[in-house]
Amino acid sequence: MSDSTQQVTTELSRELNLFHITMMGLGMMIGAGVFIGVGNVMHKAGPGGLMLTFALNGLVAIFTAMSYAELSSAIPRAGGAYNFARIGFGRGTSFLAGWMEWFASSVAGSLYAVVFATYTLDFFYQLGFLDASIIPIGQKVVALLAGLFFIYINYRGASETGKIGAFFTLGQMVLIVGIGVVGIITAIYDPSRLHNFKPFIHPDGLLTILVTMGFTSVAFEGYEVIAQAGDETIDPKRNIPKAMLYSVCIVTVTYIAVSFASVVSVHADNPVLDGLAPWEWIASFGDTGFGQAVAKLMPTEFIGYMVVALAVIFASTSALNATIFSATRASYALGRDRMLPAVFSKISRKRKTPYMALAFTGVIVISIAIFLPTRDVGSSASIMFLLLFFLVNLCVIKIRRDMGDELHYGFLMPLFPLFPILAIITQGVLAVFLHEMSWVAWVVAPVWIGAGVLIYLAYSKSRAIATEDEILVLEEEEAPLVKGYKIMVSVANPENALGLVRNTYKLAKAKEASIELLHMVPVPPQVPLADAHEYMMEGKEGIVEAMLYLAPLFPLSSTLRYCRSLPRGIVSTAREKKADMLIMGWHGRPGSQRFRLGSTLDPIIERTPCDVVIFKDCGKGDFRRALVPVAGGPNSALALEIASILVDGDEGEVVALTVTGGGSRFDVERFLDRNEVRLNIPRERVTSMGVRSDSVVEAIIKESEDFDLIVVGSTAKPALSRMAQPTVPEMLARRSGKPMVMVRSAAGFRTLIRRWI
Amino acid sequence: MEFEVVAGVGVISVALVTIVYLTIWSRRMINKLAARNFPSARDAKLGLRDE
Repeated sequence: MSDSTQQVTTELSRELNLFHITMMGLGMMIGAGVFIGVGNVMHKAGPGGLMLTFALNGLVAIFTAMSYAELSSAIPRAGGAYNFARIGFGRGTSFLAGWMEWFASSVAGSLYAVVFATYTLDFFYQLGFLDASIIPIGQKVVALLAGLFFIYINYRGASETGKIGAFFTLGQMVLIVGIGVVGIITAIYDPSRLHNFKPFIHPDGLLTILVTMGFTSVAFEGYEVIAQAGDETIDPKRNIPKAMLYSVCIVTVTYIAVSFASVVSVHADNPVLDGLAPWEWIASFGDTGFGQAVAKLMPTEFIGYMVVALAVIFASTSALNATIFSATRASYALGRDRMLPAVFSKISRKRKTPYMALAFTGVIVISIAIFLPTRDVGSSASIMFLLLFFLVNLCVIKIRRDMGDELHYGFLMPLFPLFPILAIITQGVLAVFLHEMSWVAWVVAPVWIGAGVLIYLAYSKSRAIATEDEILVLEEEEAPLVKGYKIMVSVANPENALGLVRNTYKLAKAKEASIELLHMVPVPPQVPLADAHEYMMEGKEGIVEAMLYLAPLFPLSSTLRYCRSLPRGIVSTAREKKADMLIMGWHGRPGSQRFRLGSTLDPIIERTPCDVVIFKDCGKGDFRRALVPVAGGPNSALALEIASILVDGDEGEVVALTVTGGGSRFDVERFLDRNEVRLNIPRERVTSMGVRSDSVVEAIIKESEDFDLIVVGSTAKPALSRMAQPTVPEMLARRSGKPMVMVRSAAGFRTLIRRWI
Repeated sequence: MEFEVVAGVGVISVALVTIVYLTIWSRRMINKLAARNFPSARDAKLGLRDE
């Protein structure tokens, strides 16, 4: 069945431009949230707290929007957070991301359907066309019809979805901006209304703003729907990030203007207040506080009610449209990758829309709108959106680190990774504080996530198909479980396999380690992963040879994998296998302008979360005298240790060399004493030598003439500094003809972080 | 004017200015990277053109 589906489907049509997707984002954001939010937030946080809530939420939103913008510009595919999580963290996490996204968007859609129905009926009630008695049942009927209408609109195709959404969003923007402008003009003509901001913050204090920020955070999540439109947007690398940032900027300014208008809407002397402060009077209406405020702001109350009704109808309609779109795309992506049954990925031949995913989404939206208490479940959607954004901010850090060299970015955020880290912290805090608004949300959310985990383990895990970015295990032979030091050897070239094995033997013996042999097979992007087996034999010979030599001596396991990117494959395998040391060989040819030691070694040295040892021309394996340039850091200490292991155990000698240019002299003897415990040969056979020279590299090359091995520690400088000019180890590696070993220690804070992301 | 009003208005202003500034800065970055044919993160830092 899946095969026939593959034959029918082609791809989604690209018909949405920058205006369409910006409006879709705005439509998703200015839903029911802000209208219901004004009264409730003012009740909790006070009049100034209302404006602070929206301003600070806008700031958090722009941080997350930049994460979405960066990721969407590099990976512009339908699926949004689901795709990012799959590429960043793998299948399990990505399934949960898509699962939460589908639920959150669907439930938000049903909330909007009910709000649309409520205000539509209220609109006709105000005109005198309806009797109050039929409103309760009428709400359910209208919610059902609204849901069905927008499911049909989404079925008609992307262009219609974008244009209809843009029409409704434009309508609501005109009305809402109009309310803000009227509020500002009112305050200019009557400055005494600014006294309505006393007290600025609710007497309960500043912490209430964290509660209200969590409550209204759902009113800023439009970038998710924009990310979902990746497959259907014209020039997505440019338009998607722009639309995300524009929509957050526009919506924050709009919310602050509307909040200001709400606060100044009533004069303090108005008898309707009945002794209350204006903000207390508005807050007392709760969900409908915004409507009451605007009714007082307009020339007549009737006009005010009508303006609010129309704004809410437009807003709910466009938000309903956008959430159905978003939920459908999330479930489509799950079906496309067989995380859910293949039926979810069926695309209409006529309309080119994922009609089955839309149908399932429609069932959820309509069922919840009709049968369930939507407001509490809507709060669950808020929590899941917060958790989803939390995950996306983690993804942007991990993907830039792991794949920054491979992806083609349409946007790169400044001060990376400051903004995603700030957003992660804030979203965690807001999710916790949200329990004060709805404890039910903290029950529903874990239940849905738990159900997702069960479905993944029982169904999706075994059926999910490979994506282009994944690293797949082809063959794996596990050694008996051995605790202790683990050395991973990346065997790529059969010609240097034996040389690597000889040195690995010495290191494994000294460390009493088990050995993991790894052969990664890079498959070019032009070749489908299904044909990757064509590339398997190339490296198998080397790994078999290494196994024959080492298997009788050490606990040994071997892994053959294929991947799109060699460095990413090796780094992720070292992390997954919890290796303590990675050993590789190097051909010795210098890198290009982009890379110092090559496109494979540079990222491996930078990112591998364990000690890295790289051999160059060390095939013969018998060394008597090793020169170790030292500067005192952890890499120097590791270089000393490795040198003491590699030289002859009976007669071998290690010389620690320091080169000074006239500045302060490093106490090398003290350094050697401090590291004596790491040495594999007696201390007296490890001596020191100091030379004065203006050129460190020239001095080392000159002194190394009497030695048969150079062991040098990698630089501890950050990657950016290294890009500016070649470091000493890199220049040595290029210029010295001697056998050479480069080492990089896993000690330090940066490696600790690398173990996790 | 009360301190909390001044502080509150200050925070709101800073947040708004930051949002608008980041949006304008990002727009420039997007146009710049598009003109350079969407380089990788590393190439973007090095100022290299992606082929």
